[in-house]
Amino acid sequence: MPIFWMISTSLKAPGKIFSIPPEWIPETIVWGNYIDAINSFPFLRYTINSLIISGISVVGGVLSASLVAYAFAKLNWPGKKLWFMLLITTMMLPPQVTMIPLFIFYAELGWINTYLPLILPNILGSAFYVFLVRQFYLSIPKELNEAARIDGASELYIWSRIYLPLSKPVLATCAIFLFMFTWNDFLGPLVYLQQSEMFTLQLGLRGFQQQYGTRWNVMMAASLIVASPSIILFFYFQKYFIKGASVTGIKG
Amino acid sequence: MTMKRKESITGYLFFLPALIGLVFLLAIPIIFSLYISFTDYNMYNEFNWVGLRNYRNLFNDRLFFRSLWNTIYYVALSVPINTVVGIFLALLLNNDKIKGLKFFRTTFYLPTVVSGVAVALLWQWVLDPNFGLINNALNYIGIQGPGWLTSTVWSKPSIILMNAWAVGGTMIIYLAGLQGIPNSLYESATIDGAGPVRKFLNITLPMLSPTIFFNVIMGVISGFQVFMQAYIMTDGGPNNSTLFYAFYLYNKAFRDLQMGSASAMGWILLIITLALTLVIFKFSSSFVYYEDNSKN
Amino acid sequence: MFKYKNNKLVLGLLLSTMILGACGNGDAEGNGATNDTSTEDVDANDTDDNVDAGENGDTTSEEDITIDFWHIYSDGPMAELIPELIEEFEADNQHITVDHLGTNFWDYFTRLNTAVAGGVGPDLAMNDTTTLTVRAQNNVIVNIDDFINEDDFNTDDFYPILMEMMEYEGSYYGLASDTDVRVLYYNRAHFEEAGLDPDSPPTNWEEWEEYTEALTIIDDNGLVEQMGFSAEIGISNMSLHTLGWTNGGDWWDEEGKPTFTEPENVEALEFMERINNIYGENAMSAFRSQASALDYNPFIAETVSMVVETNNLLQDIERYNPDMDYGIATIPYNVEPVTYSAGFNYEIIDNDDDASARAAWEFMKFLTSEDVQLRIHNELGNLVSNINAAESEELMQNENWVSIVEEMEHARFIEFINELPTWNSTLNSAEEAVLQSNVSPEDALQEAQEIAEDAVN
Repeated sequence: MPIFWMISTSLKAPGKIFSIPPEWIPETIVWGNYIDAINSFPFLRYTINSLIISGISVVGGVLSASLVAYAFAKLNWPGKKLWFMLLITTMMLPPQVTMIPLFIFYAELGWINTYLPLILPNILGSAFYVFLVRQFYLSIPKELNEAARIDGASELYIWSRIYLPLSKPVLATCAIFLFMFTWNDFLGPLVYLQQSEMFTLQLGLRGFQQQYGTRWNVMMAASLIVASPSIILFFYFQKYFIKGASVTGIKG
Repeated sequence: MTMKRKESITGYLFFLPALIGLVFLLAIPIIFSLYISFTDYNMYNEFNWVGLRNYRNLFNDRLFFRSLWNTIYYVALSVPINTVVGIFLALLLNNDKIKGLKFFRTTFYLPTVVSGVAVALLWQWVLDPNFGLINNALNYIGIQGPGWLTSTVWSKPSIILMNAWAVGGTMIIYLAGLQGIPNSLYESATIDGAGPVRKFLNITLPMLSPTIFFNVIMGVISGFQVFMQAYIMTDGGPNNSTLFYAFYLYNKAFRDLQMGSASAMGWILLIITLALTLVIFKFSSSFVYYEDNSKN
Repeated sequence: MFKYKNNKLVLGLLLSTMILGACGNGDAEGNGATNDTSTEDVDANDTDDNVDAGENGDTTSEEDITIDFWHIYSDGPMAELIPELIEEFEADNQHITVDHLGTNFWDYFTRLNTAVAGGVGPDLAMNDTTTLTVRAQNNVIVNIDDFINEDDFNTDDFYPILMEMMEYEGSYYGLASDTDVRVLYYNRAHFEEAGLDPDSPPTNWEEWEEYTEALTIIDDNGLVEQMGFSAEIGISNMSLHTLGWTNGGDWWDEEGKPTFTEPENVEALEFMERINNIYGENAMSAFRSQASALDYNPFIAETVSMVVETNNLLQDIERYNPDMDYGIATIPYNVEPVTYSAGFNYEIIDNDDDASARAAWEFMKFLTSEDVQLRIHNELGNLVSNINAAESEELMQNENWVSIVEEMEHARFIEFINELPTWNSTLNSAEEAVLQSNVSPEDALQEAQEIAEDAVN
């Protein structure tokens, strides 16, 4: 897998990176590349920044997506279909087109150099996640709601006490994706953050690419370090993907 | 207050976060971008109204049509391929009994996590016509490998291949969907004497259909916006064979500074995607099965 | 009741995420209010420079001001030099503080252009010299004529072509930082081996082709052991438009209409095709792969005898193969000598703030002064715009460098075309089509011509 090549490159000395035939296991292993990677930019600060953005986005995003998805899947309210189509449609405009208007909009609000433009879109009902969770909720039988309603529970109760626990696999999926997208996003931080104290890890990674003289080996080391939290998170969330961990429908 | 009224209000309350997002964070820039598509804005000047000129010019632009064709080609092939591979992998990795299950799933997920440039570089290497892994392997079995990214015929398939490799994302979604299928269904089927194929066709597929629906729609929407590889690796070549719509748009906007034209392109894409999506939605009622019998 | 508790919980969570988001502002509020110099490298945290007791330049009652400077160096030696330069500048200009931000070259324009479009751009920015026109046209950057006159600034210190590029409708809008030129590098050892005179590199296309054939060595498998020359991107930095120029061709006429299909231009593309045909498709493909595997130009690996490259190759040769016996010459031409140049300049963004503009001007003067330019050259090997620096005594000791600076006499920038600023990329596609996909030069140029016509309308 190409991942091995990444790992192998990250351990190479500068001259050997592009040798033919490709050297899978480097002759001399240069662990120093990893040290270089961490020293090339304010690693700790950027990590904290990235964590703030991704952390808030994940928590807020998962909650709001499932809340809104519930509204679409289980409640009836006027204009529901129309709003849903509108929501989906917002995903169809390529981001490059809305990038400048969005930027100007945020600039007018004075939100440049804050994390608001990076976090808010995720926690205010992002179409992708709403759609995903909605599909999942639609597979949960309505009888569940009806039974609970007869017992006098409010919708909020049903949502938080019944649906949330039931939807762990899909919520875990949302968390994984949300984390990954925000963690790997570089375009957003690139244009919205102008003070380097606020930069994220991705921006640190981009810094390696120069017009002349990119340090590929150090860059690969850095990429791997930066990618690790997503991998760890994924690994951790596996427990929600084990068959039988969740039961849909309470039969009988 | 009637039950119905109460439900409506609750519905809107729950919908509130998305409503705020839609109105404040999305509507304004989106409408703004529509306005820009009727101007000759180039990021530095004022917004001068030019009416339909941008749209008209696009219809006379051969590269516009080329990029549209390239993108349609990509979507038409990648969506089915990714769907099949995604479901297949999810089914494969849904078996608790496999040792090191977590490890395997992570290996498939890995590609999606590692960011753009490193991956692009990798693939350039793997797909190298002379020294790349793939052609070397093909050589062993005596097949002369194609030019991949350097060939006008094989460049798009190369990119489809690269994105299929990153199918881990859709695989997870299918995995999540599979978790939602109650075991009891399979158990009763076994009792009734159904074999694995039967189970797959009559239980798995229908129960998974909402998820499949999601992935198909998302596949179409994001497929039409395919961009990364062209940007990092091919620059639209060779000979504009990988000039994808979103990449052409980006060039127009940020290299040629023709924001007006680029916005027009964006809106045209929106209309095309919307039309296609609506068609899929219409057909969905016949193949998507929702447990609670609701439609759409 | 559960209902209210959960309600509060959810609302609370949503609200707190928003507040946290707003607070996640970091220490910096808005632009340029802080006193540190920021960089994407390890911080050279030194805020004591303003207390320096050294000599002062300008200490008349000037108000303290902070300006933002954006540049393209996010890693490497320049990224370290810039904070040092800023420190020195601030010591001599105590009322000015310079905050700087380096962004890697590929992302730089995205960041800069969006920021300027949104009105939150820097005060002084580096930018692409070729596109200065569009910014001057739209009053995005400041007209610096007044500054030049007030300070009696000597524009003769800079290469004439570069000052020309800084002009729009008779006024100056920036100062060039550095640029490059392209020359023919040739391997003198190979020349000798092939029986050619190492002191007489080819001067026109006929000789060029002849020499290429003489220098080429093809092994028994039909693969290229030694390539005489190739104009292909990735091996040479020999763009089609430059080749056209050397043949007397032009790509645009006075009315701004494309003239891609001019016979001189077609001949240029045909020339490129003929050269590549010496090797054949398979050999070229294999060679390409090999070449892309190197960390540096194949010329340095001595598998190619002649290449066209920028002056930056000099540094690479020094680094990877310092003992190589090579020479430098003007690109062979049929009609007139010409070389393609592209570079960066400094511009003051118009933020409607005179004080910032003036402070930015002071810094710009500093950055283009002889001493600083020399230091910049020493880090990157670039052809700096200040003639006194570029042609300083120590540099001119090097013969090769002398050849480089002489090229400035016939340096040429690509025309700026409003509707299609990257028209040279369109030509690249045509070149690729011919060299890699067997399209005929006429057809390829015809298509490029039509694309250009579509754009210009």
